[in-house]
Amino acid sequence: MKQESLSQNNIVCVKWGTKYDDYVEKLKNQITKNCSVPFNFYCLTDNPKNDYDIELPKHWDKHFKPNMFWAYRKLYIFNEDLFPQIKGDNFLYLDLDILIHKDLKYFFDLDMKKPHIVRGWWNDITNSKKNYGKIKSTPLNSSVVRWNRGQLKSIYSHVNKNAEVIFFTYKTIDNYYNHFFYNMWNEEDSFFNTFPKGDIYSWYKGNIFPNDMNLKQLRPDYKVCLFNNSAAINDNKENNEHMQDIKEIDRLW
Amino acid sequence: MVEYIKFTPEMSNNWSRSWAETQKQRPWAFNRLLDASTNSQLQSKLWIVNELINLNIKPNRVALLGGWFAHLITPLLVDELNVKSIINYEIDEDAKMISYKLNRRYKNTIYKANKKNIMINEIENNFDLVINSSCEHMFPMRKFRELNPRLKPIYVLQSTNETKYDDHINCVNSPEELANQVVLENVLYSGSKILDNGMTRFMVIGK
Repeated sequence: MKQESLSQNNIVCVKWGTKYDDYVEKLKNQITKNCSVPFNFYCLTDNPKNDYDIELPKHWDKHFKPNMFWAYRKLYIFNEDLFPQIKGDNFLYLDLDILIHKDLKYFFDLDMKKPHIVRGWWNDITNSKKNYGKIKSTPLNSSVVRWNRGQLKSIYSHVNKNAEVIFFTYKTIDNYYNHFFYNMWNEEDSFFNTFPKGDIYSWYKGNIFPNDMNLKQLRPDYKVCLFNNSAAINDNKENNEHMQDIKEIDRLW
Repeated sequence: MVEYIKFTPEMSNNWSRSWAETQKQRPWAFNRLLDASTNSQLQSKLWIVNELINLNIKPNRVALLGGWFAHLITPLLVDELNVKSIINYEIDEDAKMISYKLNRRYKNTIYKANKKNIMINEIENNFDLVINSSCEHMFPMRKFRELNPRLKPIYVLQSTNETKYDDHINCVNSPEELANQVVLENVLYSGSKILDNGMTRFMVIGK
């Protein structure tokens, strides 16, 4: 990407392995169609090929154990100093497996006193509290994260300093966030702000607990649909379902 | 040998109010309070106190690591070993708050709870006894020693080989393996016990 064309707004995704090879271009096309403000697009990847690709760091690989803290590569971007080619100060991270319904300008217009993460409104918060000590049922989801340069560097530093313990203890980064950067008992007091109800829903988990929990239902008035499917992955069911396998999604994707 | 908790009128008052308040104010935690009150839970805490008595260990200041509601171990330590100060380090806000209610008679005198992840952050106070009766739920205890090199306590550690629970992230197969996790130089006690719930638990005491 040429220096002179760079915007203040960065939209970033992360891809490793080959399972989501086709998703990056699909995501980029969706963003192009659904973002009315200038943006730079980057993909942090273990296999850079395109002009928007940036090589993923590897220094946390040594801590990785199968089935634990598996999406840790999503955290490298929180230390922007690792990526000097990224110049803008506004960051929007998007998972590859999402469907964008509305203009992403919304995310760049948010009040950024605090960084934003997805509060999965489909979660029963009492269940999340019940399971807090068991390190599961997090109400957070890191499929969409919005921050300004430097706001999430403390997370990178925390992982870097405590990698041995964190990689051993947490199955997902979302459970980790819930233990250190969110307060379910006083949500307004949290490090993270969360996207409000009506912004983001889940194809596999629903929308808002307990009254709007229909699964596999499109809600085109929302900004983003997530395809997070931890229950299926845990049960080893449907976890190989790709977005293009879902007829009503494929026509929109 | 200690075979039971002294169920005093004060304790009865604290516990009955706690159960009622938990049901009303934190209903999601109620079943966990039941889980923490089983005969197996009591067996494991009696085991700790009896082995400390057998070893003639008389601590003053005790740290509980991941002590959960701490309603069984606290009166045992106070009544049977005359412990003067207990701090329970917990990550769970509900456990912290409910533990205060259950131990209300000791609040601000003997019992305190502190919300802290002890595998990430060092602890400020000094202790002559550190009890971790849930080592299977956390990173090996050597990390606690690394974070707190100034502490020279006696350690009491319990764990299990029961791997069927998701949150048992650090099971061991023997008390020797448990002792190795904290790098004990002087093992004063090492043993195994099958509790009423069928779970095998291991315990080591040492420095």
